[in-house]
Amino acid sequence: MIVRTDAVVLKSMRFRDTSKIVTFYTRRFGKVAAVAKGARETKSKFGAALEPMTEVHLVLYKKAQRDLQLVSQCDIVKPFKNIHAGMERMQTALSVLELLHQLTHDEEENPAVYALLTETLEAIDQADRNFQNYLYAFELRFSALFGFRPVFEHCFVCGRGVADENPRIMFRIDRGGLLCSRCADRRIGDRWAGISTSIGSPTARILQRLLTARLDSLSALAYGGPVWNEVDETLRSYLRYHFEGWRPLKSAEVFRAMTADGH
Amino acid sequence: MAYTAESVEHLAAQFAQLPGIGRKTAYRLALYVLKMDKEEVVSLARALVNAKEKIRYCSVCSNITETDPCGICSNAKRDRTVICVVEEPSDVLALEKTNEFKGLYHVLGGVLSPLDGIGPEDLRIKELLGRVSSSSVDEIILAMNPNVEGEATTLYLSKLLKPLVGKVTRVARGLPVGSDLEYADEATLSRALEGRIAV
Repeated sequence: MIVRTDAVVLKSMRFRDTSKIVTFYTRRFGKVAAVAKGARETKSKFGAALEPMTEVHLVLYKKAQRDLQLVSQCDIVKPFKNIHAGMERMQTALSVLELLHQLTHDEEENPAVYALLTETLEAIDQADRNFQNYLYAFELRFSALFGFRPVFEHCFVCGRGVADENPRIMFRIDRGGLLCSRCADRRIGDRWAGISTSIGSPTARILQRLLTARLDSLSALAYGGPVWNEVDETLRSYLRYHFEGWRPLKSAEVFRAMTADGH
Repeated sequence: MAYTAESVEHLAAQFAQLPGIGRKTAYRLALYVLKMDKEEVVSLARALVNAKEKIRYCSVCSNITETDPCGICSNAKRDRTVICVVEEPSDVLALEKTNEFKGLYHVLGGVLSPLDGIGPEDLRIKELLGRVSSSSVDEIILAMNPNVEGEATTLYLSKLLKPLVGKVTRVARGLPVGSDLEYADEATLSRALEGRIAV
Protein backbone atom coordinates (compact mmCIF):
# COMPACT_ATOMS: atom_id res chain seq x y z
CA MET A 1 0.00 0.00 0.00
CA ILE A 2 1.30 3.46 -0.88
CA VAL A 3 1.13 5.82 2.11
CA ARG A 4 2.15 9.47 2.54
CA THR A 5 3.28 11.16 5.71
CA ASP A 6 5.54 13.89 7.04
CA ALA A 7 8.63 12.56 8.78
CA VAL A 8 11.95 13.46 10.34
CA VAL A 9 15.03 11.42 9.40
CA LEU A 10 16.45 9.92 12.61
CA LYS A 11 19.20 7.72 11.27
CA SER A 12 20.64 6.63 7.97
CA MET A 13 23.00 3.72 7.35
CA ARG A 14 24.62 2.17 4.30
CA PHE A 15 22.93 -0.87 2.85
CA ARG A 16 24.43 -3.00 0.09
CA ASP A 17 26.34 -1.21 -2.66
CA THR A 18 24.21 1.85 -3.33
CA SER A 19 21.26 1.82 -0.94
CA LYS A 20 20.50 3.07 2.54
CA ILE A 21 18.38 1.89 5.43
CA VAL A 22 16.75 4.99 6.89
CA THR A 23 14.88 5.30 10.18
CA PHE A 24 12.16 7.97 10.16
CA TYR A 25 9.96 9.34 12.89
CA THR A 26 6.71 9.87 11.02
CA ARG A 27 3.63 11.89 11.92
CA ARG A 28 1.23 9.08 10.95
CA PHE A 29 3.02 5.86 11.94
CA GLY A 30 5.64 6.76 14.55
CA LYS A 31 9.08 5.22 14.05
CA VAL A 32 9.51 3.42 10.72
CA ALA A 33 12.60 1.91 9.07
CA ALA A 34 12.73 1.72 5.28
CA VAL A 35 15.12 0.91 2.44
CA ALA A 36 15.92 3.70 -0.01
CA LYS A 37 17.24 1.97 -3.10
CA GLY A 38 20.06 3.68 -4.96
CA ALA A 39 20.19 6.48 -2.37
CA ARG A 40 24.00 6.61 -2.36
CA GLU A 41 24.37 7.08 -6.10
CA THR A 42 25.50 10.56 -7.16
CA LYS A 43 22.37 11.15 -9.20
CA SER A 44 19.98 9.65 -6.65
CA LYS A 45 16.48 11.15 -6.75
CA PHE A 46 16.60 11.41 -2.95
CA GLY A 47 19.45 13.95 -2.91
CA ALA A 48 20.01 15.29 0.62
CA ALA A 49 16.51 14.29 1.77
CA LEU A 50 17.70 11.23 3.68
CA GLU A 51 20.17 13.02 5.93
CA PRO A 52 19.43 12.90 9.68
CA MET A 53 17.86 16.07 11.14
CA THR A 54 15.85 16.78 7.97
CA GLU A 55 12.06 17.08 7.87
CA VAL A 56 10.64 15.44 4.77
CA HIS A 57 7.47 14.53 3.01
CA LEU A 58 7.66 10.78 2.63
CA VAL A 59 5.95 8.34 0.29
CA LEU A 60 6.33 4.76 1.46
CA TYR A 61 5.45 1.45 -0.08
CA LYS A 62 4.24 -0.09 3.18
CA LYS A 63 3.30 -3.66 4.01
CA ALA A 64 2.00 -4.58 7.45
CA GLN A 65 3.82 -7.90 7.65
CA ARG A 66 7.35 -6.61 7.09
CA ASP A 67 9.72 -4.71 9.38
CA LEU A 68 11.59 -2.87 6.66
CA GLN A 69 9.47 -0.73 4.33
CA LEU A 70 10.43 0.73 0.94
CA VAL A 71 10.93 4.46 0.29
CA SER A 72 9.18 5.45 -2.92
CA GLN A 73 9.70 9.21 -2.74
CA CYS A 74 11.18 11.63 -0.24
CA ASP A 75 11.11 15.44 -0.57
CA ILE A 76 12.60 17.95 1.81
CA VAL A 77 10.13 20.07 3.81
CA LYS A 78 12.71 21.72 6.11
CA PRO A 79 16.44 21.08 5.79
CA PHE A 80 17.33 22.76 9.16
CA LYS A 81 20.41 24.14 7.47
CA ASN A 82 21.87 25.91 10.51
CA ILE A 83 21.89 22.69 12.50
CA HIS A 84 24.16 21.08 9.91
CA ALA A 85 26.54 24.03 9.94
CA GLY A 86 27.58 24.22 13.60
CA MET A 87 29.05 21.64 15.95
CA GLU A 88 27.06 22.58 19.10
CA ARG A 89 23.73 22.73 17.30
CA MET A 90 24.50 19.41 15.60
CA GLN A 91 25.41 17.83 18.94
CA THR A 92 22.12 18.87 20.55
CA ALA A 93 19.97 17.86 17.59
CA LEU A 94 21.68 14.46 17.23
CA SER A 95 21.21 13.83 20.95
CA VAL A 96 17.49 14.62 20.60
CA LEU A 97 17.22 12.17 17.67
CA GLU A 98 19.18 9.46 19.50
CA LEU A 99 17.00 9.81 22.59
CA LEU A 100 13.81 9.59 20.53
CA HIS A 101 15.15 6.56 18.63
CA GLN A 102 16.06 4.90 21.92
CA LEU A 103 12.82 5.51 23.78
CA THR A 104 10.19 4.85 21.11
CA HIS A 105 9.03 1.56 19.65
CA ASP A 106 8.40 0.86 15.96
CA GLU A 107 5.09 1.98 14.48
CA GLU A 108 3.59 3.59 17.58
CA GLU A 109 1.79 6.64 16.26
CA ASN A 110 2.11 9.76 18.43
CA PRO A 111 1.48 13.06 16.59
CA ALA A 112 2.24 15.05 19.77
CA VAL A 113 5.76 13.58 19.89
CA TYR A 114 6.17 14.40 16.20
CA ALA A 115 5.11 18.00 16.84
CA LEU A 116 7.52 18.25 19.81
CA LEU A 117 10.35 16.88 17.66
CA THR A 118 9.86 19.30 14.78
CA GLU A 119 9.36 22.28 17.12
CA THR A 120 12.56 21.37 18.97
CA LEU A 121 14.58 21.03 15.75
CA GLU A 122 13.19 24.35 14.50
CA ALA A 123 14.15 26.03 17.80
CA ILE A 124 17.69 24.57 17.71
CA ASP A 125 18.03 25.74 14.10
CA GLN A 126 17.07 29.29 15.08
CA ALA A 127 18.88 29.50 18.45
CA ASP A 128 22.21 31.26 18.80
CA ARG A 129 23.43 29.98 22.21
CA ASN A 130 22.71 27.67 25.18
CA PHE A 131 21.81 24.82 22.85
CA GLN A 132 21.92 22.19 25.61
CA ASN A 133 18.68 23.69 27.02
CA TYR A 134 16.84 22.26 24.02
CA LEU A 135 17.88 18.69 24.84
CA TYR A 136 16.81 19.16 28.46
CA ALA A 137 13.50 20.74 27.40
CA PHE A 138 12.90 17.87 24.98
CA GLU A 139 13.61 15.29 27.70
CA LEU A 140 11.14 16.93 30.10
CA ARG A 141 8.39 17.48 27.54
CA PHE A 142 8.85 14.00 26.05
CA SER A 143 8.44 12.53 29.56
CA ALA A 144 5.28 14.61 30.03
CA LEU A 145 3.80 13.26 26.78
CA PHE A 146 4.29 9.71 28.05
CA GLY A 147 2.55 10.44 31.37
CA PHE A 148 5.61 11.31 33.46
CA ARG A 149 5.23 15.08 33.72
CA PRO A 150 7.33 16.18 36.68
CA VAL A 151 6.07 18.88 39.08
CA PHE A 152 8.53 21.61 40.01
CA GLU A 153 6.29 24.50 41.08
CA HIS A 154 4.80 23.09 44.31
CA CYS A 155 4.95 20.20 46.76
CA PHE A 156 3.32 17.15 45.20
CA VAL A 157 1.85 16.07 48.57
CA CYS A 158 0.32 19.25 50.05
CA GLY A 159 0.42 21.57 47.04
CA ARG A 160 2.27 24.31 49.00
CA GLY A 161 4.63 26.51 46.98
CA VAL A 162 8.31 25.65 47.27
CA ALA A 163 9.79 28.92 45.98
CA ASP A 164 10.88 29.97 49.47
CA GLU A 165 12.37 26.58 50.37
CA ASN A 166 15.98 26.88 51.34
CA PRO A 167 18.60 25.72 50.56
CA ARG A 168 17.74 22.24 49.27
CA ILE A 169 14.46 20.66 48.20
CA MET A 170 13.74 16.97 47.98
CA PHE A 171 12.81 15.76 44.49
CA ARG A 172 11.13 12.39 44.38
CA ILE A 173 12.34 10.79 41.14
CA ASP A 174 9.81 7.96 41.38
CA ARG A 175 6.86 10.33 41.95
CA GLY A 176 8.20 13.04 39.68
CA GLY A 177 7.65 15.87 42.14
CA LEU A 178 9.14 18.15 44.79
CA LEU A 179 8.48 17.57 48.45
CA CYS A 180 8.32 20.66 50.71
CA SER A 181 10.32 20.64 53.95
CA ARG A 182 7.15 20.34 56.06
CA CYS A 183 5.96 17.23 54.26
CA ALA A 184 9.47 15.84 54.22
CA ASP A 185 9.76 16.47 58.00
CA ARG A 186 6.40 14.86 58.72
CA ARG A 187 7.64 11.96 56.67
CA ILE A 188 4.36 12.03 54.78
CA GLY A 189 6.28 11.03 51.72
CA ASP A 190 7.21 7.70 53.28
CA ARG A 191 3.90 6.34 52.07
CA TRP A 192 5.63 6.35 48.70
CA ALA A 193 9.10 5.38 49.84
CA GLY A 194 11.34 5.40 46.80
CA ILE A 195 14.17 7.13 45.03
CA SER A 196 14.83 10.79 45.71
CA THR A 197 17.50 13.41 45.23
CA SER A 198 17.95 16.85 46.68
CA ILE A 199 18.13 19.88 44.39
CA GLY A 200 18.63 23.60 44.98
CA SER A 201 15.70 25.98 44.46
CA PRO A 202 17.48 27.65 41.46
CA THR A 203 17.66 24.20 39.83
CA ALA A 204 13.94 23.67 40.45
CA ARG A 205 13.16 27.04 38.82
CA ILE A 206 15.34 26.23 35.79
CA LEU A 207 13.72 22.80 35.41
CA GLN A 208 10.29 24.43 35.56
CA ARG A 209 11.24 26.90 32.83
CA LEU A 210 12.73 24.13 30.68
CA LEU A 211 9.44 22.27 31.02
CA THR A 212 7.01 25.11 30.37
CA ALA A 213 8.68 28.12 28.73
CA ARG A 214 8.32 28.84 25.00
CA LEU A 215 11.02 26.90 23.16
CA ASP A 216 12.27 29.97 21.31
CA SER A 217 12.96 31.71 24.65
CA LEU A 218 15.33 29.00 25.93
CA SER A 219 18.28 30.40 24.03
CA ALA A 220 18.35 33.25 26.56
CA LEU A 221 18.18 30.92 29.56
CA ALA A 222 21.70 30.84 31.03
CA TYR A 223 22.80 29.36 34.34
CA GLY A 224 26.03 28.43 36.05
CA GLY A 225 28.00 25.20 36.19
CA PRO A 226 26.68 23.85 39.54
CA VAL A 227 23.02 24.31 38.46
CA TRP A 228 23.84 22.88 35.02
CA ASN A 229 25.35 19.76 36.66
CA GLU A 230 22.33 19.37 38.90
CA VAL A 231 19.85 19.77 36.01
CA ASP A 232 21.83 17.25 33.96
CA GLU A 233 22.09 14.70 36.78
CA THR A 234 18.43 15.05 37.82
CA LEU A 235 17.24 14.48 34.26
CA ARG A 236 19.56 11.48 33.76
CA SER A 237 18.18 9.87 36.95
CA TYR A 238 14.60 10.74 36.01
CA LEU A 239 14.81 9.21 32.52
CA ARG A 240 16.72 6.17 33.77
CA TYR A 241 13.99 5.49 36.33
CA HIS A 242 10.94 6.01 34.12
CA PHE A 243 12.08 4.71 30.70
CA GLU A 244 13.23 1.13 30.51
CA GLY A 245 15.14 1.58 27.26
CA TRP A 246 17.13 4.61 28.42
CA ARG A 247 20.91 4.37 28.07
CA PRO A 248 23.60 7.08 28.20
CA LEU A 249 23.63 8.76 24.78
CA LYS A 250 26.43 7.66 22.45
CA SER A 251 26.34 10.99 20.63
CA ALA A 252 26.88 12.92 23.87
CA GLU A 253 29.90 10.76 24.66
CA VAL A 254 31.42 11.25 21.20
CA PHE A 255 30.92 15.01 21.33
CA ARG A 256 32.45 15.10 24.82
CA ALA A 257 35.56 13.37 23.40
CA MET A 258 35.59 15.80 20.47
CA THR A 259 35.40 18.82 22.77
CA ALA A 260 38.11 17.43 25.05
CA ASP A 261 40.48 17.02 22.06
CA GLY A 262 39.42 20.12 20.23
CA HIS A 263 40.08 22.69 22.95
CA MET B 1 18.81 -27.78 2.98
CA ALA B 2 21.79 -28.70 0.78
CA TYR B 3 20.87 -28.99 -2.90
CA THR B 4 24.33 -29.86 -4.26
CA ALA B 5 27.64 -31.28 -3.07
CA GLU B 6 29.00 -30.15 0.28
CA SER B 7 32.03 -28.43 -1.30
CA VAL B 8 29.77 -26.35 -3.56
CA GLU B 9 27.58 -25.41 -0.58
CA HIS B 10 30.70 -24.34 1.29
CA LEU B 11 31.97 -22.26 -1.65
CA ALA B 12 28.55 -20.59 -2.07
CA ALA B 13 28.48 -19.81 1.66
CA GLN B 14 31.91 -18.14 1.33
CA PHE B 15 30.75 -16.00 -1.63
CA ALA B 16 27.59 -15.08 0.28
CA GLN B 17 29.74 -13.38 2.93
CA LEU B 18 30.85 -10.75 0.40
CA PRO B 19 29.00 -7.41 0.33
CA GLY B 20 26.18 -7.25 -2.22
CA ILE B 21 26.17 -11.02 -2.81
CA GLY B 22 22.92 -12.76 -1.97
CA ARG B 23 22.32 -16.50 -1.73
CA LYS B 24 21.25 -16.88 -5.36
CA THR B 25 24.21 -14.95 -6.75
CA ALA B 26 26.54 -16.92 -4.45
CA TYR B 27 25.31 -20.18 -5.99
CA ARG B 28 25.67 -18.74 -9.50
CA LEU B 29 29.28 -17.75 -8.77
CA ALA B 30 30.05 -21.12 -7.19
CA LEU B 31 28.69 -22.95 -10.24
CA TYR B 32 30.65 -20.63 -12.54
CA VAL B 33 33.85 -21.50 -10.66
CA LEU B 34 33.16 -25.18 -11.39
CA LYS B 35 33.06 -24.39 -15.11
CA MET B 36 36.38 -22.51 -15.04
CA ASP B 37 39.71 -24.15 -16.01
CA LYS B 38 41.70 -25.43 -13.07
CA GLU B 39 44.49 -22.88 -13.81
CA GLU B 40 42.04 -20.02 -13.66
CA VAL B 41 40.65 -21.23 -10.36
CA VAL B 42 44.14 -21.60 -8.89
CA SER B 43 45.03 -18.12 -10.15
CA LEU B 44 41.88 -16.67 -8.54
CA ALA B 45 42.60 -18.39 -5.24
CA ARG B 46 46.24 -17.22 -5.35
CA ALA B 47 45.15 -13.64 -6.07
CA LEU B 48 42.88 -13.70 -3.01
CA VAL B 49 45.56 -15.09 -0.70
CA ASN B 50 48.28 -12.81 -2.15
CA ALA B 51 46.18 -9.72 -1.66
CA LYS B 52 45.44 -10.69 1.93
CA GLU B 53 49.07 -11.54 2.72
CA LYS B 54 50.84 -8.71 0.92
CA ILE B 55 48.54 -5.77 1.52
CA ARG B 56 49.22 -3.61 4.56
CA TYR B 57 48.58 -0.04 5.61
CA CYS B 58 51.07 2.67 4.63
CA SER B 59 52.79 3.94 7.77
CA VAL B 60 52.52 7.53 6.48
CA CYS B 61 49.07 7.93 4.96
CA SER B 62 47.31 4.70 6.08
CA ASN B 63 46.34 3.85 2.49
CA ILE B 64 46.46 0.18 1.49
CA THR B 65 49.79 -0.76 -0.09
CA GLU B 66 52.26 -3.58 -0.76
CA THR B 67 55.30 -1.44 -0.04
CA ASP B 68 55.77 0.83 2.92
CA PRO B 69 55.62 3.80 2.38
CA CYS B 70 53.06 3.47 -0.42
CA GLY B 71 53.65 4.42 -4.06
CA ILE B 72 52.06 7.85 -3.59
CA CYS B 73 53.94 8.77 -0.39
CA SER B 74 57.30 7.65 -1.85
CA ASN B 75 56.78 9.37 -5.21
CA ALA B 76 59.20 12.34 -5.36
CA LYS B 77 57.03 14.07 -7.98
CA ARG B 78 54.03 14.46 -5.64
CA ASP B 79 53.44 17.84 -4.01
CA ARG B 80 54.29 17.30 -0.32
CA THR B 81 52.85 20.61 0.80
CA VAL B 82 49.24 19.54 0.18
CA ILE B 83 47.46 16.69 1.99
CA CYS B 84 44.00 15.51 1.05
CA VAL B 85 42.17 13.85 3.96
CA VAL B 86 39.73 11.09 2.96
CA GLU B 87 37.58 8.53 4.76
CA GLU B 88 38.59 5.24 3.11
CA PRO B 89 41.20 3.81 0.68
CA SER B 90 38.44 3.60 -1.96
CA ASP B 91 38.26 7.43 -1.86
CA VAL B 92 41.98 7.61 -2.78
CA LEU B 93 41.22 5.41 -5.78
CA ALA B 94 38.34 7.66 -6.84
CA LEU B 95 40.43 10.83 -6.54
CA GLU B 96 43.44 9.31 -8.30
CA LYS B 97 41.23 8.46 -11.27
CA THR B 98 40.62 12.18 -11.80
CA ASN B 99 44.34 12.77 -12.45
CA GLU B 100 43.80 16.26 -11.01
CA PHE B 101 45.31 15.95 -7.57
CA LYS B 102 49.08 15.78 -7.27
CA GLY B 103 49.51 16.04 -3.51
CA LEU B 104 49.55 13.39 -0.77
CA TYR B 105 46.67 11.68 1.04
CA HIS B 106 45.72 10.79 4.57
CA VAL B 107 43.17 8.01 5.09
CA LEU B 108 41.20 8.38 8.34
CA GLY B 109 39.72 4.87 8.28
CA GLY B 110 36.15 6.14 8.72
CA VAL B 111 34.33 9.22 9.96
CA LEU B 112 33.05 10.52 13.26
CA SER B 113 29.62 9.00 13.76
CA PRO B 114 28.03 10.32 16.95
CA LEU B 115 24.92 8.13 16.59
CA ASP B 116 27.07 4.99 16.30
CA GLY B 117 29.46 6.01 19.07
CA ILE B 118 32.47 6.37 16.71
CA GLY B 119 34.65 9.11 18.16
CA PRO B 120 38.04 10.73 17.38
CA GLU B 121 40.03 7.96 19.08
CA ASP B 122 38.61 5.43 16.58
CA LEU B 123 40.10 7.29 13.59
CA ARG B 124 43.67 8.08 12.47
CA ILE B 125 43.44 11.71 13.58
CA LYS B 126 46.46 11.74 15.90
CA GLU B 127 48.59 10.42 13.01
CA LEU B 128 47.32 13.27 10.80
CA LEU B 129 48.15 15.89 13.42
CA GLY B 130 51.60 14.30 13.83
CA ARG B 131 52.22 14.50 10.07
CA VAL B 132 51.12 18.10 9.88
CA SER B 133 53.28 19.19 12.83
CA SER B 134 56.41 17.36 11.65
CA SER B 135 56.43 18.48 7.99
CA SER B 136 55.88 21.71 6.08
CA VAL B 137 52.28 21.45 4.90
CA ASP B 138 50.67 24.51 3.27
CA GLU B 139 47.20 23.15 2.64
CA ILE B 140 44.90 20.45 3.97
CA ILE B 141 41.95 19.48 1.79
CA LEU B 142 39.09 17.81 3.69
CA ALA B 143 37.32 15.43 1.28
CA MET B 144 34.66 13.79 3.44
CA ASN B 145 31.34 12.53 2.08
CA PRO B 146 28.65 15.25 2.11
CA ASN B 147 26.51 13.74 4.88
CA VAL B 148 26.02 14.37 8.62
CA GLU B 149 29.00 12.22 9.64
CA GLY B 150 31.18 13.89 7.00
CA GLU B 151 30.06 17.32 8.19
CA ALA B 152 30.81 16.50 11.83
CA THR B 153 34.27 15.22 10.86
CA THR B 154 34.98 18.27 8.68
CA LEU B 155 33.94 20.71 11.42
CA TYR B 156 36.02 18.86 14.00
CA LEU B 157 39.14 18.52 11.85
CA SER B 158 39.03 22.13 10.66
CA LYS B 159 38.97 23.25 14.30
CA LEU B 160 42.04 21.10 15.08
CA LEU B 161 43.97 21.91 11.91
CA LYS B 162 43.45 25.65 11.52
CA PRO B 163 46.03 26.59 14.18
CA LEU B 164 48.60 24.26 12.53
CA VAL B 165 48.18 24.86 8.77
CA GLY B 166 47.91 28.05 6.76
CA LYS B 167 45.06 26.87 4.57
CA VAL B 168 42.34 24.35 5.41
CA THR B 169 39.87 23.75 2.57
CA ARG B 170 37.04 21.35 1.85
CA VAL B 171 35.84 19.85 -1.44
CA ALA B 172 32.86 21.66 -2.98
CA ARG B 173 29.32 20.45 -2.35
CA GLY B 174 26.41 20.96 -4.69
CA LEU B 175 25.10 19.85 -8.06
CA PRO B 176 26.48 16.71 -9.71
CA VAL B 177 27.71 17.19 -13.29
CA GLY B 178 25.10 16.12 -15.83
CA SER B 179 22.13 16.60 -13.49
CA ASP B 180 19.20 18.98 -13.92
CA LEU B 181 18.94 21.99 -11.64
CA GLU B 182 15.13 21.76 -11.46
CA TYR B 183 15.31 18.30 -9.90
CA ALA B 184 17.85 19.22 -7.21
CA ASP B 185 16.55 19.38 -3.63
CA GLU B 186 16.64 22.55 -1.50
CA ALA B 187 19.59 21.46 0.65
CA THR B 188 21.78 20.56 -2.33
CA LEU B 189 20.87 23.74 -4.21
CA SER B 190 21.51 26.05 -1.27
CA ARG B 191 24.92 24.45 -0.75
CA ALA B 192 25.66 24.88 -4.44
CA LEU B 193 24.77 28.57 -4.11
CA GLU B 194 26.90 28.98 -0.98
CA GLY B 195 29.88 27.40 -2.75
CA ARG B 196 29.54 29.43 -5.98
CA ILE B 197 32.77 30.65 -7.60
CA ALA B 198 33.62 33.57 -9.87
CA VAL B 199 33.85 32.72 -13.60
